[in-house]
Amino acid sequence: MIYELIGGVKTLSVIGMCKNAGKTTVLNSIISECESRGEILGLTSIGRDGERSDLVTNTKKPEIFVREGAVIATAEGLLKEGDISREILMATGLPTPMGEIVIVRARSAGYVQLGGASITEHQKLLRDRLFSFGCTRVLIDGAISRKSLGTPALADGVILSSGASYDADVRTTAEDTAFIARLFSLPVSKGTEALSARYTAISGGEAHSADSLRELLPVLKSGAEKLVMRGAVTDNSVKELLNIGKLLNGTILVAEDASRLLFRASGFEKLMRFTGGFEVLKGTRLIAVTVNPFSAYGNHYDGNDFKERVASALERAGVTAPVMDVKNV
Amino acid sequence: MFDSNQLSSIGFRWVTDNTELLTPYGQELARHPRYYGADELDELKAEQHNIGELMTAVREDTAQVNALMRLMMPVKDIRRSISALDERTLTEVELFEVKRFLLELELLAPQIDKLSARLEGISVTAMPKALDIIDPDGTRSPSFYVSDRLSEKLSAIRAERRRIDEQMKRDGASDELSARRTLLAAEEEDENAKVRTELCERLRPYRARLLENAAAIGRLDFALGKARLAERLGAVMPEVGADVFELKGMTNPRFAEALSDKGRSFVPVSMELTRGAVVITGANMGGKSVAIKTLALNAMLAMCGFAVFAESARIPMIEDMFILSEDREDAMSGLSSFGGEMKAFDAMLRATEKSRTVLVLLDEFARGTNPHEGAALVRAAARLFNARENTYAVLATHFDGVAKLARLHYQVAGLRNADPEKLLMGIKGRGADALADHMDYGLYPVSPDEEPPRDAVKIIKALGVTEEFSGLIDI
Repeated sequence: MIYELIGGVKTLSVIGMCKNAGKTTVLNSIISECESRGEILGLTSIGRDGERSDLVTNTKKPEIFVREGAVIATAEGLLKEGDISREILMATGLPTPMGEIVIVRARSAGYVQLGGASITEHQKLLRDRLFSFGCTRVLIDGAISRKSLGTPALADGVILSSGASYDADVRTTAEDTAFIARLFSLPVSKGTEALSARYTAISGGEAHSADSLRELLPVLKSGAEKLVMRGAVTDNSVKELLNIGKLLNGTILVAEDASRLLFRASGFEKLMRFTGGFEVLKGTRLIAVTVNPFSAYGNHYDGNDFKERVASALERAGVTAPVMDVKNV
Repeated sequence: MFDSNQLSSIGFRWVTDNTELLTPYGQELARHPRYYGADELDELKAEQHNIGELMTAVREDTAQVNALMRLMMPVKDIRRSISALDERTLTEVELFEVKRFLLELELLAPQIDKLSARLEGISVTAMPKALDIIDPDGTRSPSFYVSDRLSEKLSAIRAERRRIDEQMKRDGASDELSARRTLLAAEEEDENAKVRTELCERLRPYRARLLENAAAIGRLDFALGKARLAERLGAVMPEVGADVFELKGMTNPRFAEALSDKGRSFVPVSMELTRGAVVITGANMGGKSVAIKTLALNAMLAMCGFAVFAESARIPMIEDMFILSEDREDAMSGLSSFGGEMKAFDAMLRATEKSRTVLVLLDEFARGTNPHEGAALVRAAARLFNARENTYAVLATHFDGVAKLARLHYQVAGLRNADPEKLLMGIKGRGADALADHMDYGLYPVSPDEEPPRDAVKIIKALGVTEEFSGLIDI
């Protein structure tokens, strides 16, 4: 089923809401589906910046399993954690706490441990290299952190994995999952270009740029169609926007892409009430949401109940992506 | 020798920064360019010869040079891996890099061969035997895989692994098959390490030649960088080992660039220096410091085997060079006070007493004291340098009575020939910037009896400083 959903998505990212959300199960299903159809997969992950190597390597054995022919971009220090016969294709020179990122080809089936780049530009470079080594599709093991929503800037499609390990209360997990899914489903702003200034107000078709909101107040007062924000939009940015809330009546807020949106659901809801909505310059395709009712901490959810709650939360948020149980991906 | 602030201030850093290097080996050489000592004339001439040949190649064999550059660009620094060969077994990634380097040598060597008949002391040789060790299948592919051919045991383990994998794919992963698979993977890892250890032992005899090749690529890269810069900016190869300095039409690209941003151009400077004291006098703002720094730059470039920025240049082998000046960049080196200047001067005199040849550049020496004593100090310095057989000294000063001690005397013309009426008009129109238009920055040989020009009052009037002040000047 998942293979039909990911169809023409060349760069696919699987993003977990938390650890043990079932992301690896999803990845392995996709790998197996693709490889059994003769695809050559490229694999990498979003770097866990600042994390000490022992935190990564002391965890369980690597769980991502590839067949002969797959191409993997990972930190040199993680090669020995896996057990494929490997052919070294490239030393990229990109550094990680676990050594330089290298690109290897699997000359046997086996497990691999992924540790990729943490900077978007480097991630793009790795993706491009993987394609240049003949990969037909690139899978990115993504993660949501305080600093990032993962890979929307990089991937054509995203699968969001949620699970009972996220929160003891199934309602919280369902709502937060729907919120993230909603950010990944924001509409693409039409006819708006990427601008270099922090803020650009578009009023009467004319762009007014500034590095602070205050400088744009006169333009916003006169009623701007759009307010384009470059860089991260954090809780603090939301607070600033709420402070001038009345001026934004009907103005559409535009961010670069979903990975820049690092604010909580509550602020977002308030903003949505009186602005003209939220859009992004680069859209993401949310392909599916997977749910895992089993918790690493013991408080398992009821499988069907969890799936239904997420589905209805998505519906309320206006997100149309299908919800799949991680067992049936 | 010049310190790092002085190297920046005279424009030497500008030159090294604008020398394009293609390899990490070349980049390292350019960070600390070799200074050819007084007894290294032959080595310096060999470097000059190579750069001259490469300049010709850049002009006439452009396609060949471009092909060589394309091959050099991907070269990485693998010296750490090569050195590690002595101590331990290389990792797969390190062996990958050694193999890549060996493959690069295969391509570079014939390309460099085409030039090397004309180059001295630079030869890069292919190492097919070392490559055969690391690539026994002869695929010459730019990747590294421990070949089955290197160990029957490895080959057998891999075959068994493949069989188990097929079985698991067909029948599913039973616990027994999974355990067997894990065991085989561990055995393969062990055997892989053993094979790599043997590989490294067989590669060890090639270690020295690998390093020699890396060094040769670096020297070629640096020489080619110097040649390309010289061609781009029109620099010429100086004649080194002369007994006097003869520098015609010198420029300084760092200052030229700054001036061109303001729409002005650098006025070339010509100078001859004999042993003893040469004195430059001239107006404030007239370019004495620029002349000194331009001389310093080109002398330094010549001794580091670069082309120089001049129409032509003859330069003696100089063992050591010193510059004492006060400007913003040098202030950091702590020479701003009179005391600091004298201590530095003293240290320099003591250090160079026994040197074979020294170039000493003093810009407004003793400026920090009263004109009466200051002039006496500069005269004393001139006498000292005239007495020392090993020193080429240039003293830029506006003190009186120094020039008559000089072996040669140069003067910056300054505003001497400027029409006061036109100057005033210019200043009224465009402010102080107009001064530069009327200033003659040229350096002219004059008689030792010629006193420094008196331009201070002219400048003050031209600047339109209030008459309440200028009317009271009593000369």
